[in-house]
Amino acid sequence: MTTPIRAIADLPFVRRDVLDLLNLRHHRAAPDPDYTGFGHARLDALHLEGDVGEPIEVRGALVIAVHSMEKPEELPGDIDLEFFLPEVSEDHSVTVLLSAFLRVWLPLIRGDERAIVLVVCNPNQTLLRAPAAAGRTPFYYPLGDVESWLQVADGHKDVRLAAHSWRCAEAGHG
Amino acid sequence: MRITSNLMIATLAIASLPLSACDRGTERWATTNNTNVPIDWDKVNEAYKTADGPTDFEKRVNEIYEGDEVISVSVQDLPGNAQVVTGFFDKDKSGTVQEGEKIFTIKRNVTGEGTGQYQTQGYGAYYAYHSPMMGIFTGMMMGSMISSAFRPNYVPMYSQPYTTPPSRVSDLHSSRSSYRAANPARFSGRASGSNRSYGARPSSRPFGGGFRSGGARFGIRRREGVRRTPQRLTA
Repeated sequence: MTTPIRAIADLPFVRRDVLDLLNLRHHRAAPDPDYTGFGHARLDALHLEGDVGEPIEVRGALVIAVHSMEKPEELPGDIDLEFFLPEVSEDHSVTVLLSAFLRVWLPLIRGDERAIVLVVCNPNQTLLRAPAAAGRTPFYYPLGDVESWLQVADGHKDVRLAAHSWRCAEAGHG
Repeated sequence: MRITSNLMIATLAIASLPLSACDRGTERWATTNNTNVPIDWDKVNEAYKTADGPTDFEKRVNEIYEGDEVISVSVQDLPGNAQVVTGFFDKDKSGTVQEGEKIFTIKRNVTGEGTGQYQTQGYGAYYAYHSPMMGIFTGMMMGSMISSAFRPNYVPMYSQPYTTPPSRVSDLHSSRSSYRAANPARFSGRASGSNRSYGARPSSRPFGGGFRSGGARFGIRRREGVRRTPQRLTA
């Protein structure tokens, strides 16, 4: 057991292998709805799938994977996040507004990525603005719930993130 | 050629996954001729690790399975404290595993004093699933179905295999119905804000050859009976 987290900057938001981060290490017939892992990863390429249209291919991505609270309140331009911290105690969690989380963490994890992909369920389909730290880098986020999938074909493994639709937020807003 | 053939089978299997809970409406638990209902393999593996015996395991595995069929279980101890557990749909009600009925096997070996491993393999529509080799050792949280194999005085109990008796299938079905009724959030639609199902959505998405493996959903789902008051961080 460790000391409870008191500040957003103290969250153990670490870089992880993308297969671990998105829970794709082992085969499952369906995504695990109880997975609570979070963190960030770099990925050469991935596809964002919506209910209609062709998937969006994103290259050189910084993937930020977090979880929305269950049935989050509708907040203009924001989403309530929940972080489970089993290292503190079983079922211990903290909540943070997405905007506050990105204000603290995005500057710390930014690199030379060509795109930022936010992986979080957005059941209220809240429209977001790109955080200031994104600069002019495209900032993709979902409308609706998000599921991660690994498509395997002809020896290639392709990470796919499925949501109702994906948006690319305008750059330069706070 | 073998791999190509398997991939083609997997594509067919996954492409025929049932529609989402919303799309299927009241047919969610309808009996189906195909058995391509998603199985949460992590939970099956955990159920084996923590089960206290074959009847406990078959109860747990039927609570995990989200289809209408009842999964029967066969447990056989082999020389060297090994054990093979087979999950199957006893379609002919014979109480034995027949060709084409097998869903999965779990093979357990004892590798040393107080150590062992087990691995799960899917069959039929679930053939694409292979678990990693999962280590077990004395001191882990385990049910007696596994832990008994580490006892110095261990005597295999299932040299003559245990198999779910056909007469028990209706009891398992009733027990599972009660379990589902007590967990409506899980079985009457996913508890997501958008009321989306998981598992079958990709069948509606076009994709090429190969197969798909599910990862995670990125929204918290509250567990039944667990009340929490998370701390809010503001800075």
